Amino acid sequence: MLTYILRRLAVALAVMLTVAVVSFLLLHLSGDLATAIAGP
Amino acid sequence: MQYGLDRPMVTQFFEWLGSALQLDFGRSFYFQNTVMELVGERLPITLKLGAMSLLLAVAVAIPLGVAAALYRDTWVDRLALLVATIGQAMPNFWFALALIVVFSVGLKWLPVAGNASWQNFVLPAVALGYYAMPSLMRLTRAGMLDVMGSDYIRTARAKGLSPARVVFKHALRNAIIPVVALAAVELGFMLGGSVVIESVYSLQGLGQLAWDSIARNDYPVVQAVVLIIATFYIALTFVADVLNAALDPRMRTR
Repeated sequence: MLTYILRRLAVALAVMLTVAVVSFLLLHLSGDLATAIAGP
Repeated sequence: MQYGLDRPMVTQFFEWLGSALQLDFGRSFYFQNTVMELVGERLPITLKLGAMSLLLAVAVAIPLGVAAALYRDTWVDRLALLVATIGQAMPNFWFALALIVVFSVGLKWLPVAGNASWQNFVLPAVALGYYAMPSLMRLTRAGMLDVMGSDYIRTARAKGLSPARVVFKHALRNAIIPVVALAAVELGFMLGGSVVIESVYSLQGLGQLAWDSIARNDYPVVQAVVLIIATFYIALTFVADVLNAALDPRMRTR
């Protein structure tokens, strides 16, 4: 059972990291962030 | 330079990740509070809505699923499947608006919007729970149909146990295993999918915060909300897997 939990935990952490990378990239690659913050 | 946008992307990512691990997501561009203060105010409302919705969905789905399985191919089964199909087909924002028209405007039983008291959460919980109920009901029905044909159920009946005891003590206990796992995942869906319901009912939850922040280009808040909702969803999926393995040891080898 412990092996199973550790295996699922490792997968969960890998998914978390992937989500962090993808959300960061989507936000920063969707245009110039500085222009978006400053406005027109 | 204030927001570190002049630095390389990789540097920005690791700085942001390092801060996020310390629960520091910066300050909101729109509100003057820190992101964590905003999230801290709104998260309990979304969690309350999610928990109420799940309780409602489970309270309706399991009895309906058991009844549909026990009275298979009768009007009970057809009615349960009809209720499930309607729940899956109906857009939840439309259902939410219909509930407002009937119960708040027409009958004046419940408030239209806000989060002042528990009554404000009834209609949103019904709207969100009704969307999750069909899958739980179908899974319960399928599980019960599978289990009721098993040898140990036949043995239990042959031993002279009452039908209620056979169904609830022996059959349901085994049929409910995948339902428990699905319920944990459905809670994750509800936390993430509460955006529309919170907007319809003006509940100041995490979903409403995400919606408003996207509209205002409030990037720190958007990033934080996305990460927090993803964390909850992944954590609930993990809990579902562990529960499944605890209830059914055969899952541990997969």
